Amino acid sequence: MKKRNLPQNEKNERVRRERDPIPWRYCFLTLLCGGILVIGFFFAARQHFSAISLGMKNSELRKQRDDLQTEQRRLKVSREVAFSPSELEKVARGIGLEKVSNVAYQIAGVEKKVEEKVKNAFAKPTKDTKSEKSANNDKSAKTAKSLSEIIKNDDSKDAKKEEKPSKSDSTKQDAKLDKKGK
Amino acid sequence: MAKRKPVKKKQNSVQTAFTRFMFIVAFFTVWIGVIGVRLVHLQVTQHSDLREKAVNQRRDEFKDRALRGTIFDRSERALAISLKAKSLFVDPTEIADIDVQPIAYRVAHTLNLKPNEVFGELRKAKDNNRRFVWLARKLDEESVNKINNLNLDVLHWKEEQTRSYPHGVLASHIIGFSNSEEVGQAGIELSQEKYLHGETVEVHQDKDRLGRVFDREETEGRKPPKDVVLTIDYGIQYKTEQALARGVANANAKSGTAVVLNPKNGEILAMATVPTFDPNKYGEVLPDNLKNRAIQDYYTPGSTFKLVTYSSAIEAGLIKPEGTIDVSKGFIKVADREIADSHKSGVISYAEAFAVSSNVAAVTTGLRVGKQNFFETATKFGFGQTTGIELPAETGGILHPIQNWNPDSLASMSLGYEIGITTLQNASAFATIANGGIRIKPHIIKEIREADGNILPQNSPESVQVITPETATAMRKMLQKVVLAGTGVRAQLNGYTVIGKTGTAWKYDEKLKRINQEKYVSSFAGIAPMENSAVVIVVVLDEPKGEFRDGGHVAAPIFREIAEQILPELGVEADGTKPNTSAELITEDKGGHKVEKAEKVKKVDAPKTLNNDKKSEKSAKPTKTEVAENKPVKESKNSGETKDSKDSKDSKTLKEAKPKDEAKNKSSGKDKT
Repeated sequence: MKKRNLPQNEKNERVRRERDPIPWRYCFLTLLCGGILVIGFFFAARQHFSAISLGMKNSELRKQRDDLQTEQRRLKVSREVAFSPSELEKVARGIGLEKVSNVAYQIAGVEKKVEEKVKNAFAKPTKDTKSEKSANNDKSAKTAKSLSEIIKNDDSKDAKKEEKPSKSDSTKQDAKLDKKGK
Repeated sequence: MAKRKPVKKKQNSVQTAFTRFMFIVAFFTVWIGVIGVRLVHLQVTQHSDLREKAVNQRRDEFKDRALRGTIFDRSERALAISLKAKSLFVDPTEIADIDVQPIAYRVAHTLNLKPNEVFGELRKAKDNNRRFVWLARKLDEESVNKINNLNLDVLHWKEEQTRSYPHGVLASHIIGFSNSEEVGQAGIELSQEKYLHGETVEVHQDKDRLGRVFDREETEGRKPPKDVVLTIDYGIQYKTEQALARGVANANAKSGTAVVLNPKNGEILAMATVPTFDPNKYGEVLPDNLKNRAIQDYYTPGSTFKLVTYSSAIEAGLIKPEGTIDVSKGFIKVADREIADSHKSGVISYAEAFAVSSNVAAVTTGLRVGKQNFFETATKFGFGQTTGIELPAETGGILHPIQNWNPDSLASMSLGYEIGITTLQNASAFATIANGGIRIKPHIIKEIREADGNILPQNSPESVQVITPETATAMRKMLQKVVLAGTGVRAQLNGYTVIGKTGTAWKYDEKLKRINQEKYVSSFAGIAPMENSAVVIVVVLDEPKGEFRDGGHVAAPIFREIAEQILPELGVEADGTKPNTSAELITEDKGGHKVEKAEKVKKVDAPKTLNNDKKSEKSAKPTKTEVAENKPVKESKNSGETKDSKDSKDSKTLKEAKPKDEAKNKSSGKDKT
């Protein structure tokens, strides 16, 4: 083997290589990107879940609103029914109020029948019934008396009224006929 | 020679780190790549299938309909309102054969239905493999709770809406009704369908696995329905309906209509028809009762139409109310017809002739007016055409064109025959007189309102000058005479001036093909107060039966009852007048008729404050003139072709309209105007 002429004690100079900074950059960049990505995903997820949550709240509120509107309408209907004139009339009758009507005219025949009914209803009781219902009938007898008196008075007034205009009419007519004749 | 120690090769840490890093990167790249490929595979090739699956899992799709719009009266009282309601249905395929009967019976018992019917229907559906059967529709809250308490999984709910009419029969002919599908079928519900109709939209809502809705969208922007506000007042409407119902019952009439109109602006305050119906139970109503007779039926007006006759004559300057006419002959011959008065009068003023409803005077006046002028005036008053009110199926009545008139048509029309008018047309004509000769188109819708309160713009009602204010004033004076001393004394009010005209006509009988003397149409059209009029009220009774059934006896008291109640409610100040006596008319009657006590009329159950007025009682007593208000038409020959002319052909003289004489009239075929 051929010896080479190489210095024995001479050491090789250590080679110093410059460290490549690129891997750290990559690392940092990757981490940064990863971080951004994670944060992005995090925010997106948060947005998504909050959207779902808000959607749920929204739907609950919508349902509540619908329910309240339905209730409001139901109450409105109940109020309208309660305050409808026919219902008020029923209630008024129920508590004993009577309708005051301005209708002024009724055929006398009908009225007479009513008057007769009133008279009959409050007619003086017989002796037997008197003894049986003396206490209760005292009041009704008095009322009947007063009512029949009122009716009689009214009748007599009416009769007087009826007589008066006929007289005046005839006199007026006579006077006019006289004038015509003249 | 010493062996050299093998130099331990120093590992390059940097290289190692780099290599490892690259491995990780490669791993992740591959990982992401694989995921990417998978994602592409899923999202590109399997996209539609997966999407459908996902949507089916989370999404509900259904049709939602907005609640129908509300109908209000002028004081914002709800007359028709929609509510949500639940309907019960089942899918029979979900029910085992053995469970059909028990389920049907349990549901039927809970809802008070007939168990056999429910079971039969369910069984039939099951046998036919139907997947949808209604068990009950539009249930109230209580019933829904009862069904829910049954805890039957096979029962399902569907949300619907139901229409409620809280006031029942009140204004039912105006409001109309909507069917089970919430579509308007009559009245305002029908005519304003486009505004009231709740729009149907498709709704998509996303739910999570617990069924909680987290997203909702509608296919189109929903347009909410509008609310309709009417001009009617529920209080006035109620009083009108009540008075009319009592009047119809008292007169034993077949039906009746009444219209209350504000002459100043054409607003209808009330429109009543008897018999009526409850729109909440429209399925149980007789079809005839659904008809709004105030606008869908026309009738022969009789003497109320003399308003047109005298208006056209005064407008043309042919007559003056205080001018005189000689009706002493008692009849007039037109073509081959003889038209007569029920009682002879001498020389009387036109106002008096109008007050006692003299046929001879009306015919004479009508003939002087002439065909063309008469027709034009009638048309201007709105007869023979629809008023244009916002209600469906309005009729325009009958007003034949001049070329179709018979030789005696003008005479007949001067009396209110050979013409068909609606109650609303008559009210509009009288409103024209009250409003100084200006006819304002009657309307019943005050405003249409959006959900946010915005009011839709509407055209102001049309107005036409029909007659001059002077003619209108003259007509008002003539109408006043009718109420003060003519046929309309029963319409007098305490504290308010009233003007008006009675009308009584015999009806044309479709079966007999001629006038039927037993069937009357009695009416009264009145205005109150006389000046600065607040209301026009027209009352029409169809076929009143009884001893006294002319307009003055049966319709005028209804007018009075309505007017007395609503005038104070409208805040109309009393003009301080008191009813006049009818005796005045008789003394003024140059014919020298005696006052006959036809009936005794007394004031009853009136408030004490009103009972003090003795004059009103006195004036209420009918006279012979009132009883025989509308006088006969004497026929000498039967000729002509039209239905109306046939009506008049059969007519003959009527001496008195008393029922006692009706038997005689029947034999002689007399007519009433």
